[in-house]
Amino acid sequence: MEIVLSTTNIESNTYINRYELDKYRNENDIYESRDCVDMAEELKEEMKKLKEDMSELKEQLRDRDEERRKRRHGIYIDVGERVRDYVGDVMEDVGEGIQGELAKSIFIGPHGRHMMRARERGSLDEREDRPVDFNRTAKVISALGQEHRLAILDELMSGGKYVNELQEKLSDIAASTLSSHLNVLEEAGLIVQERVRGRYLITIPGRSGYKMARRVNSFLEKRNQE
Amino acid sequence: MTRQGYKLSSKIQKTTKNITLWKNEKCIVEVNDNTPAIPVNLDEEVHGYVFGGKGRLVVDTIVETAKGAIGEPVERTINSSFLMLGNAEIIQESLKPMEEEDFTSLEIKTKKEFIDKAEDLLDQFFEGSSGRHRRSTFNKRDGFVFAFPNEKDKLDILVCNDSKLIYTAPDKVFVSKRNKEILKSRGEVVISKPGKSIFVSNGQCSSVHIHNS
Repeated sequence: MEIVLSTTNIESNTYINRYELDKYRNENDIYESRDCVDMAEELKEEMKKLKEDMSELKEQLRDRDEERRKRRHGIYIDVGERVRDYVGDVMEDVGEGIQGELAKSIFIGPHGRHMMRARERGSLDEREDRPVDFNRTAKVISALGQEHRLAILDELMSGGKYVNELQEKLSDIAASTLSSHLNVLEEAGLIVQERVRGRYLITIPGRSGYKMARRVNSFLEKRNQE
Repeated sequence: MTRQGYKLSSKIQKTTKNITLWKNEKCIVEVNDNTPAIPVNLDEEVHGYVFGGKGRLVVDTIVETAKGAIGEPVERTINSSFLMLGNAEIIQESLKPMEEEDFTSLEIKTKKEFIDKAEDLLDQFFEGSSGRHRRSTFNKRDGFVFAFPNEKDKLDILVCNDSKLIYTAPDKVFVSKRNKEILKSRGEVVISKPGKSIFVSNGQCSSVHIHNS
């Protein structure tokens, strides 16, 4: 509405200018009148451009409103699909990473009891057909699913540490809670404690789990930046 | 029967307190209070003991690599007779003569039973099925050798001194010497030294992987 009024004002001004032009003509001041005519024409052109700009601006505003309306109703579908695609890609990467790790090194499961061969006979498809030990997998993922436990793994990535060193580094965790977290991580085979010195060490599965957590974190950070 | 000159003494003793027979960063061997002990002599000199259980063995058979730690600690309570060869002087002050009646409260009920078990253990150690522990003599300055009977009626052997540790069990071999460590377990071998780890798998399909850190 404001824009329209402004336009009207400009048109009114143009009318005033024409009136002024006639006045000048009446005074037979040809040269000045011609200048005024030229000015009026230029002004007319400017107004025309301005109107076009206004119209374009209104179009843009309309498009933006439409987009906002769509977002209010449809954002979950759009972004959900993107997230699903991205997570799919990430999981594929993680899968390839794990496969690569297996191809590169010996993998020892919880408590070091389940050693897998670096390469075994049979194609990848055949390996995928094998039953998955969901119980063990869930135990490992459950052990990873706690921020303090991830912080413990983060500390152990730089080398073995005594419990008092961990306590010092992770001062926001109560001593009893820290002990409980260490037990959970050890049960899942993500860390191992030396019985003589008492140091805690991160295991190969522990490092893999930690790297997976880092990848998830990177994904979330990327999402936030978007 | 070849024992390379090692003989059991006739003088049975018992521990007067819990004794730590060996301890370093990787392992602990302890024997409990009131445990029968019979000296193992070589040329009339005490070169070790056979203890009539009980004790505790801890070995951290864990190898640290750039990819993470591999292995798990061995921690077991010893309930049967076990052999120690090495410098026995350090524990002699914690021993006193054992009488027949002292056996009544123990799992081994008589002196004779204990001596028989000790003889069998010594035979098994020096002879063995493969004779692999046979050697001319064991120098006390070499450190200690321990032999623990396991559930498979074989011996877990621990050799340790200030610079090295070797532990062999039916399903595991662990060697730690200064900064180098080797662990063999269930067909896989890990060799680790500063900056490099080697993984060897000799299962269905052999493979070798080297990681430089």
